[in-house]
Amino acid sequence: MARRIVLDLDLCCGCRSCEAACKVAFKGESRIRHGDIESVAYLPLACKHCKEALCLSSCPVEAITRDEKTGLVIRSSFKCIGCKSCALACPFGVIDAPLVRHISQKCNLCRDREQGPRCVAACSSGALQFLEEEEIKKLEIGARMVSKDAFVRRR
Amino acid sequence: MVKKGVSVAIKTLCPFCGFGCELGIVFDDFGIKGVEYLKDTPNQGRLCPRGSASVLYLNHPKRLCVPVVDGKYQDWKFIRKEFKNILQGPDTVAVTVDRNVTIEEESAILDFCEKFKIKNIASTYFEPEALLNRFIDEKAPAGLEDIEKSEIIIVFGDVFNYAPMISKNLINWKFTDRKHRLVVIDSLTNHTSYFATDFLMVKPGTEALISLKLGGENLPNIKFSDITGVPEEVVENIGKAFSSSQDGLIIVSMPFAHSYEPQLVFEGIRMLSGKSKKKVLPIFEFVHNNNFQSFSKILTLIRENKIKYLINFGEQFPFYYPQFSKELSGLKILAASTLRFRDYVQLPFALNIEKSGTILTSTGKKSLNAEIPPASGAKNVFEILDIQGIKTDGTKSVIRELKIDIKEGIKRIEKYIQDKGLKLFGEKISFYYLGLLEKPVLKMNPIDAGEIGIKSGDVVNIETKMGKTKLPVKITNEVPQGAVFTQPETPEVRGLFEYQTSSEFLNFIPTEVKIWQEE
Repeated sequence: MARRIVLDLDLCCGCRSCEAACKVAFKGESRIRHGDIESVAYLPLACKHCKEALCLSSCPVEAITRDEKTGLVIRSSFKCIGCKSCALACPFGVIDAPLVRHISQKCNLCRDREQGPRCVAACSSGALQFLEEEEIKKLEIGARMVSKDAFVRRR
Repeated sequence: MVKKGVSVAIKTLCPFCGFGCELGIVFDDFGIKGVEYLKDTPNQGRLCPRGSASVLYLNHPKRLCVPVVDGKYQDWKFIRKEFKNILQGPDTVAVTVDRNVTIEEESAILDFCEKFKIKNIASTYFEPEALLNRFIDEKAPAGLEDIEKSEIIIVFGDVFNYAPMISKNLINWKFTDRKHRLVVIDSLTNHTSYFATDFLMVKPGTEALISLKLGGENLPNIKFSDITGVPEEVVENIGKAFSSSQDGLIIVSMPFAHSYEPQLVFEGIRMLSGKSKKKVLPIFEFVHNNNFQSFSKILTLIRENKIKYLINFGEQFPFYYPQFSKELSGLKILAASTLRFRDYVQLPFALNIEKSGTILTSTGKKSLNAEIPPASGAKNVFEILDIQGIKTDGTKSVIRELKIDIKEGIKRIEKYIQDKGLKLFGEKISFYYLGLLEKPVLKMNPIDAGEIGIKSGDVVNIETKMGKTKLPVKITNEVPQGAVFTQPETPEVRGLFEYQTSSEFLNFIPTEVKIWQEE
């Protein structure tokens, strides 16, 4: 079953541990970024590995492919020519446009680490979680942001 | 030790703040590879940006590995001559101790000074948090479990930015019961304040008055509400609610140049904690076990030309404080430090992570086991002294009583806040650590920015009495009018702040600042 990174906005404290963890692991290329809606919320932006990935279809050299087993959208750094098409195509803005080493960077859910993504492990507030799709459906993640009641999620 | 393929993860204690998180450092054939997040630890593998970046610091390009004398590489034995010269006139020598020194090493330094009759020993760790060691109760230290028990928690400063590791416990505690009351006291809107039941946004720099009021100190002849911007009754009510609650906790963090008279903030907290019999959880990056002398005294001796040599053990001094460069220019400086800087006599010093010994953390004493091999050439205090033929056992301990004059301190605060000009304050944000992950910015209120005519992202010139630099601007409503905030995490920014030596602790204070944009 595919597992994905989920963000619980209610918990995020904006410490950017996730970004630091990613940056250190991938030698200065942070593949998770942050947003800051001032006075409302902080949001780490991670690749959602979309079912219909626009970055995948926009890539002119087929550097971005889908791993059939896990459903991950993966970019090959050997094939990438650094044209930034994927960065422009991504509706969530999670592919970094400034090109480090002239290729685009993209989250691969830390395939090299058995225990799961580093950003989730590092997260100091527990806002980032690595969950099965079924578990995600059960949770009311980020309900506080919508309902404006701090206790909705913890009924 | 966790073996995985060809790489090995060594479990160690994060040295970059006093919270005491455990982490793994991964080595492979080519050296340090990265950080591993170990689940079976008190921090459940979670780390803040500083913890994740610890490998960047171990492999820092300026890491000092060979002794340097006046810019040239030298042998360790060469340094023996320097030490011989110095020890002939102990009255002309000052010994200073910065961060990144274990308790055993502190004792060894005291031992060394006693043997050679050196009387001038001071701490050069100038962050106000250095005074928080008084709140570490070795028998029953406050811990994360105390958060869960509490009904009311008073937080001084922004703990999420100082120790993000606390955020999970604090947010969960706040939202498990509607009765839980979180009081946050700070001079700018911070992360913790978004979760607070009561957020007392005090006028910049005046936290000390709030803390003294909470502690029950009489403050006659002071227009409390005018100076602090917080109604007196509100503070009194919180004080009463805290004292009458069954379980409560005070969490305190105080960044560099964030408030006037931080020692008074801590004094008020001590009074409140004593009166209400509640624990204090101090959040700090580093504290000394021994209360060394104040650096103010040594500074006076330097000004009187009585001191010729300065030996510093530790990480950052004098590299981190360019404002002292004029006064230190006449001295011969021997600095055992981790990073290379200037043309002093520099001795490569091991980081805490590379040593064995004891360090003080927010939750009591913890021991290091030296499983990380030190960078080639880096040595600890014992090894450095051993090369000079000086043997120490490291069993000395001196605790100095800190004299705090509340009345004098309040007078000084009243004097400071009379100046109406724009003031530069310090704030702590962990991802600005040493400028490794992010470069500092200048946070400014939209009204102040409008007056000067600058937009978010503009790079502006900043000048204070102490120095000048350039920083990009971030315009935000989080910052009050009349004050600008920056992160003193690099020497250039730290060098902007003024210091005052009138109290027993050398204080870096919010500083008057000129900001302009070049045409």
